[in-house]
Amino acid sequence: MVPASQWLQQPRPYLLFPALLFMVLTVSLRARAQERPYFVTYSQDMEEPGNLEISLKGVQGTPKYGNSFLSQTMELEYGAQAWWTTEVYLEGQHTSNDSTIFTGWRWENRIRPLFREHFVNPVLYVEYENVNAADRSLLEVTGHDSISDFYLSNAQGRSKIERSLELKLILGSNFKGWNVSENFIAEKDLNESEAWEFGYAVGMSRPLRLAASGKPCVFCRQNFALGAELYGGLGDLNGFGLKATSHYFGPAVGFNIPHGPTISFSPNFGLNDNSVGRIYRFQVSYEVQQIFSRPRVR
Amino acid sequence: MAAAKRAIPLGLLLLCCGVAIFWTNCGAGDAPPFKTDVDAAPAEDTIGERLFIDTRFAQYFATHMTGVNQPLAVGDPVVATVNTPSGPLPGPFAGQSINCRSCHFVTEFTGVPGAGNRTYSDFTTRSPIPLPMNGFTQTPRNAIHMVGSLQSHSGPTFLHFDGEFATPEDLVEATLTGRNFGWAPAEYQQALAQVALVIRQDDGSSQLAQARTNGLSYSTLFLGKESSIPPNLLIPVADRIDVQNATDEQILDLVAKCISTYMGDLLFKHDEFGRFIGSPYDVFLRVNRLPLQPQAGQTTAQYNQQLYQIVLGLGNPTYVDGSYGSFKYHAQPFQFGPTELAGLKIFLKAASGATDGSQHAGNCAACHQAPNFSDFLFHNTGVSQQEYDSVNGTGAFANLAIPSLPVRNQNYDLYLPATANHPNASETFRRAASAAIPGYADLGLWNVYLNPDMPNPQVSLQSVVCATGQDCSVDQGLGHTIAQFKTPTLRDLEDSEPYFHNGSTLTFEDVVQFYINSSQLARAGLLRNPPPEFKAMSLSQSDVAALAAFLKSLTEDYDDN
Repeated sequence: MVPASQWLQQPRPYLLFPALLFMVLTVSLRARAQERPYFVTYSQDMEEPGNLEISLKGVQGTPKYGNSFLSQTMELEYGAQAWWTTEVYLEGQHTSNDSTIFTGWRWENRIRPLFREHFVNPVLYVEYENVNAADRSLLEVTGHDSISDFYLSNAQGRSKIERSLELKLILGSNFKGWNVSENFIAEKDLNESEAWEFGYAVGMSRPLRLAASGKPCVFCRQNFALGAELYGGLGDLNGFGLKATSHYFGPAVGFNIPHGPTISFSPNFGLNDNSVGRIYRFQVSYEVQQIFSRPRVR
Repeated sequence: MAAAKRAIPLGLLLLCCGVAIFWTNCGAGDAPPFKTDVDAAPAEDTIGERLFIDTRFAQYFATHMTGVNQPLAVGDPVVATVNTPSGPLPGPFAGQSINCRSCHFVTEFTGVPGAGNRTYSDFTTRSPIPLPMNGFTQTPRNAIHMVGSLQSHSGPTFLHFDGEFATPEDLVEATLTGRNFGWAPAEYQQALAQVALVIRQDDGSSQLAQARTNGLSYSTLFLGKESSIPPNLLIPVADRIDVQNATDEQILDLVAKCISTYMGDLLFKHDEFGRFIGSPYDVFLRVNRLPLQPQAGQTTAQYNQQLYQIVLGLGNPTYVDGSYGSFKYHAQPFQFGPTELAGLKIFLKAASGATDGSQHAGNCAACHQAPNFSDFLFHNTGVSQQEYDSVNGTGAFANLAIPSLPVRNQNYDLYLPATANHPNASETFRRAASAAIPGYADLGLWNVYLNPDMPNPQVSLQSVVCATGQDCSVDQGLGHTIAQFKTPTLRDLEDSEPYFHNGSTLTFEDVVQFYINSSQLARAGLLRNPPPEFKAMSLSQSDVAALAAFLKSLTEDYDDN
């Protein structure tokens, strides 16, 4: 039997995610979210001005011949303007037989140039990344990312910090409750004279029911959304295309709890030998409305 | 309605794309290449290379120079030619005196028939020394290839075949002031003074100084204050010394540090994360998405076992051919095919209860552990016994009288290597076997372990000689060290023949044949101090070609760049 004092002193990285979840749940009493069940693909949706969305994303995977990992990302998304959403990511991961480490941060900005709804709605995305090579968040797949990246130990990975600029062209369409979004990704490592790397992500989703129920309910069909995502690398400027790239596909489900968080889950399947065979994604997100203009609670 | 009709095909299209990528394994025909490491060399590395090549630290230069910065009128004959299997070739340092590079070549013989690139080794079985000394006209052993010798690994570092040095600095200081540079054991002070003199008086006017360090003198570089010193030649502040005021020992220490830094950067081609990428074997692992090195939490031995299980289960591997690369310095094709894979399996396989050579199990990875292909430890493979018996008759080595620890240490001069404390020691057991003097043999690590004149490596040696499971109750395990030599890496082995500590073997086929014979001797109880690893070795003639092909697949174009 381990004494309580010792138990508390031992590092327990697997408790990090539930602890953060509990913390966010308790502070965001007025949370509300209507999220699409995408993990990699961005839709044309912007954060409402003044709202702050807090998300916790997890990725679990076991690369063939490698150690399993659990990546955790905290995402803070703020609606600065109706046309401008800004986000900060903090990332870390735990690898079995290895360690738990902070892997870096990102700052992204999305700008929607056209206000009115069109058949195809473009959004421009600019992100600065400061993450090390031990990052396992798989927030996007670009260039020649492959399963070999997951064989690096945390010590090896953290020795190389990548500062990069990532640009995305986001195209999104809504009709009859369906959302179809396509992302074209271009990434440039600012540290080294490396070529631009490219990637893509495509997603589509739809709530199970479009019309709201007449009476309040939690497990009504309209609170659930189903979707699917396909994403992968497209090589780089020296070799654009599918050669030596990795790709993933997976269904996704989202559950918008009324007056509560949104919970999403997606098993992703590697589509070729360069991909991790199977990864599981999960996300809990909360939208805090008008965070800077809320009355002070006594 | 029209929009919904558009949505359904779009959804189907997305699904079809995913299925198509999966079905065609799209993009997976090639695994992505790894980026070559291009880290800038520290200043001490570049200065260390110049010191490594400098020919003025030798005894011959000291006794024949007219000035530190003046060329010799007549060069040391020992560097006039270089012995190769095809005969003598003009030495790259002819007209000068000996330096480190004289026995550790790299690109000096690129493209020369019968020679070629080296991985910091020479071409001969034992390297000539400048002056006959204590009966030696050559080094006691083959010049071990230096590339990869300081590769990071778990466990202690040992240098030289017998583990005489625990650090590269110790090795450098002993070499610059020792027999290989023409200095007798009793001449340490003269050797030290010569090193200090060269460093203090060097004016940077030599061609070597111009090429490597912008014509800057050692005193300028070591002081590190002049604005003319480019950033890549600036020694860290903590290491800088004013050679005009520093002691001779301080100067030698900094020289050793610079050369050690240079030695530490002599690594086989690797990517930014230290994964090897230069040989067909490395490419084979990469294109088949196999782990190239141990995972976190995995020992090297466990990694080798895992690799064996993986390659056993490879159903349809991607083989490596000329489309994946080519050799610039080797005539052979760049390949890792079915024969090489068969060799890898034999290399990794450990036999169970081997009573003969029928199991196609080399158990080579017990000592030559991938990815470094060395455990950096010591083993007796029977090379000394073979050499001794070939000169003195079969079974002679088994009957060779080897003293116990107390007897050996009480009669230092009779058995152990010459040192500054014992300049007249006979070095009986660190010599090539001789028909004229049957007492001569090379017992390798036995000469160093518990040798009171070699205190630095003793703690580390004790930890490996008396590792868990070893019986050290008699003479603290000295008997286990008989004829043990350090495991060399097998990477780019083609560029460091002849093989073994005595250079007795010229081809991979002969190396494998040696192991077939030696493991047979061990099974028959005829190998003195046999290694436990031989119990799991079961090889026959049918394994020779595959193992040789595998060893060949570890070749790469090493050229110091």
